[in-house]
Amino acid sequence: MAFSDDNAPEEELIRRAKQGDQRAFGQLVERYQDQVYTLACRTLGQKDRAEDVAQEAFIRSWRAISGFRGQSKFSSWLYRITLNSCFSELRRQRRSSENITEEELEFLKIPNPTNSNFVSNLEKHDLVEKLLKRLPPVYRSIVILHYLQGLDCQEISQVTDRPVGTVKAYLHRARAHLRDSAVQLLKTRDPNR
Amino acid sequence: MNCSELHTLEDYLDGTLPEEECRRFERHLKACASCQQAVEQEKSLQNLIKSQLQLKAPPDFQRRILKGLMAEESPRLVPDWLWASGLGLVVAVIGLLVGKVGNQFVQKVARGIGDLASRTRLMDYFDNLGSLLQSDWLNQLYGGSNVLMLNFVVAGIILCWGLWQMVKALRG
Repeated sequence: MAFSDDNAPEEELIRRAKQGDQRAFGQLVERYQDQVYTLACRTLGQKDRAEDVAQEAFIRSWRAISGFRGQSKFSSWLYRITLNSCFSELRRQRRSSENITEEELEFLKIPNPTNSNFVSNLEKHDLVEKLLKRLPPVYRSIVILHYLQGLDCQEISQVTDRPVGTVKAYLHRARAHLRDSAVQLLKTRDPNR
Repeated sequence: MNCSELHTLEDYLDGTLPEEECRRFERHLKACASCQQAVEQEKSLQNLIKSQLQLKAPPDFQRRILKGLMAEESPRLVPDWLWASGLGLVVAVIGLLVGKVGNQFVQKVARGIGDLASRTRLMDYFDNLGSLLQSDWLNQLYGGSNVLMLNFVVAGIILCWGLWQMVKALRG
């Protein structure tokens, strides 16, 4: 019976990758490339560098896979390496959350006479992305890990190497920020609301 | 929002509420309009984030990574920290053996070097270093040779670096 990599269990692919099987590692890349790319892109807040950083994260995980002992989920381990690459890149750029461009700030301030509801406004103008960008990178990464990758606070704590209490506090603040920004935005756009 | 269950609401949204507490809060939710609104907002936010922020990797992303891997060696079966610790240990053992067995020979060599080095006051440096670090057990161990003492210092530094790498690897 021919062995199919597509259906191979993750543990099997990890075991083979540890032995130097690049094809098995390629399958792991295929399974996680969208999540890793999204995490890198949203944490950095810039698409142009995200591809290189996500690629670097996979290469680093290949180099380090012999040290993966399965104490956490493979995905958590991979996200941790991705975030380390992202924060190295941000340190290199000395880019902070305050560096939101003037154009983006203006975009958020422009009053819009259209009296439509907030959700449709957000959808129409991709404002979630812009609101997310106003958060510091560590908050962005926690939002993405929670809402997109579906990690709970315990898992995020392992990935980000921060206490669970801190993760919860960050998540609450991020949630409040997104909610308040949304309300503020609505008021700016429609003062009669 | 004024509801006294605000903290429970946050835990509920995080999915960290224990099962029994969760059931109790859901009963509260049916009667509390402000909590209901907050939960609805959260759901909208979650849906928006899922629909707007999820990205797909570029089409040739996997191929480029695999191409990058071709240039890489296979993952190291023996991690860096083990190499470094092993190297430190080997240097220390060699220093010990040479100190015990070949001390006289090394001292002859050292004297030869010392004659040469005396003009540049290099031996003064070794003497000072030796007197700083000398102790009875060390003296027995390395046989009084300052050159061997230096050997142990170097081995110790490599060993510490290796152990530090090990700590980092275990934490990572």
